[in-house]
Amino acid sequence: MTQGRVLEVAGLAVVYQSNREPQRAVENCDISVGAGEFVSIIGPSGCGKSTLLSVVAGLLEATRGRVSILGSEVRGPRPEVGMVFQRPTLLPWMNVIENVLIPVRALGRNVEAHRQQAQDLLKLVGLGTHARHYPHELSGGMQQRVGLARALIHDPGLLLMDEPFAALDAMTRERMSLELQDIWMARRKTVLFITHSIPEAVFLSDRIAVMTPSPGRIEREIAIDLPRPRRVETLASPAFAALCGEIRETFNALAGEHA
Amino acid sequence: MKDRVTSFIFPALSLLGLVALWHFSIDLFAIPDYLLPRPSAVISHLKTGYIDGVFWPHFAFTLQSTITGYLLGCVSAILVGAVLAESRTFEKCFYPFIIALQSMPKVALAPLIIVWFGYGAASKVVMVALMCFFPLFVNTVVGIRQTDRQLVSMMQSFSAPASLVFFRVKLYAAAGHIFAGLQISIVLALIGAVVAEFVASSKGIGWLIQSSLANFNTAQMFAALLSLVAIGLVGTQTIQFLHRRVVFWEQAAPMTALPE
Repeated sequence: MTQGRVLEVAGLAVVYQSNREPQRAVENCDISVGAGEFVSIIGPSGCGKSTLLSVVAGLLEATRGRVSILGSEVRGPRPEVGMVFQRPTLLPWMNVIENVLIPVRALGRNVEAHRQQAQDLLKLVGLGTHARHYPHELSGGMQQRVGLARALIHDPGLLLMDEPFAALDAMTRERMSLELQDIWMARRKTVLFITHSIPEAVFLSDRIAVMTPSPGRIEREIAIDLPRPRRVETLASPAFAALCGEIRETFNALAGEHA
Repeated sequence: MKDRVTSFIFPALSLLGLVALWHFSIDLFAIPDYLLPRPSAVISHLKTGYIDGVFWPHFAFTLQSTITGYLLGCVSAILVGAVLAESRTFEKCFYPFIIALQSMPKVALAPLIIVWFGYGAASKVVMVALMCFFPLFVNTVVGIRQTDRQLVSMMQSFSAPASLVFFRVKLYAAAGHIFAGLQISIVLALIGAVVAEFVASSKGIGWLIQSSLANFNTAQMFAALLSLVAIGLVGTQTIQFLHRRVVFWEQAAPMTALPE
């Protein structure tokens, strides 16, 4: 165990047993995330990013290798983890604040004692006045914000985000990135963020891990040293463009190797 | 507002037209009373039935056995369906028998049920429960099984125990299917009650129809049939209303085609 590492993945392999032949989704995958760090994993669709995240979340068993969170090995879902999904996955029969309180209920903690905190989190994600609304009354972006508040309610040490903005339109997506950065700076959570958008990863991350497809493994890691807070203007800066270009080149080189 | 008025007035007008057509065609084609009674005769039977009160004991008997049997059948269908949907072992042990029983026309069991449960209300209640059970049971199993996988893994990712996933996710996810089953079961419940009364009874609307046959009192038969229509309509409307209220997050499904 390394000091200060919140997440440690070493030599991870995941093999799916299918009818024809075993599918190697992830192989020889190593990554570690330090406390308070924002790390993105970027890769093409179907490269095993979501598989990796499912293993970290304790929803899927690793075939080989070790995954540990805060020094202890992952054998199932852990209370120190908060997850944001690609779709909002809110329960349509519960109002917004009840949805935010789901992890509290799931962990068997006192729901009433967390109600004020849930209200504060809703305010943080800009939905302070929507606590009594139902998911179907909200837009896609608002629903995803509820999902973010829900992932934060039990004060997890590690926040896992699986392409959380992929289903949103471009405008909303950009705004959500800005908001996520603000929330991250306010709360200083350790984040493992999965995306297939290069600009989104560059904008948000301290470090980007590039993943290669079939079987997925981390090919390269790039530190992003753009000053924070990053603003909309950052998106237009030469440094930002250079980093995006570097990652794109890495991708193209990898695509050549794997073609 | 205009829509609501016309949706009330138009059916009323067509009903009036039909009744007029019925009334005048009896004289026109000289149809004998025992084939088709006059509307006025049916109305006078309804009047003696419900205002003078001759029908009430029968109406109450049928209504009571229908409601009791319906509740019994529906509660057990939801319980057994839930257990079966959640437990593979239970499914393996019992599913084949349930399917075998389902493919049998339940109406054919009526004489046997009379033998086992007697001529009174008990046999009617059991018959109704049996009729209600299967469609709701199947709908409960299907409803629970088709719960969005992603909602379940979301709950699991937050370390939710299986009981919480069941009561807070699966049961709600199945609610739409369960209400559709409840709706189908209302009509089946009435069929069950009437059939059981046909086979052996000394009371009830089904009995009333049979005894009207004995003296070719077609007008009374019509009045009895209208009573059944009233029970069925109130029942399905109530379930539809509850469906919209309870499953507010889904558009209430239109009434499903009736089996059997």
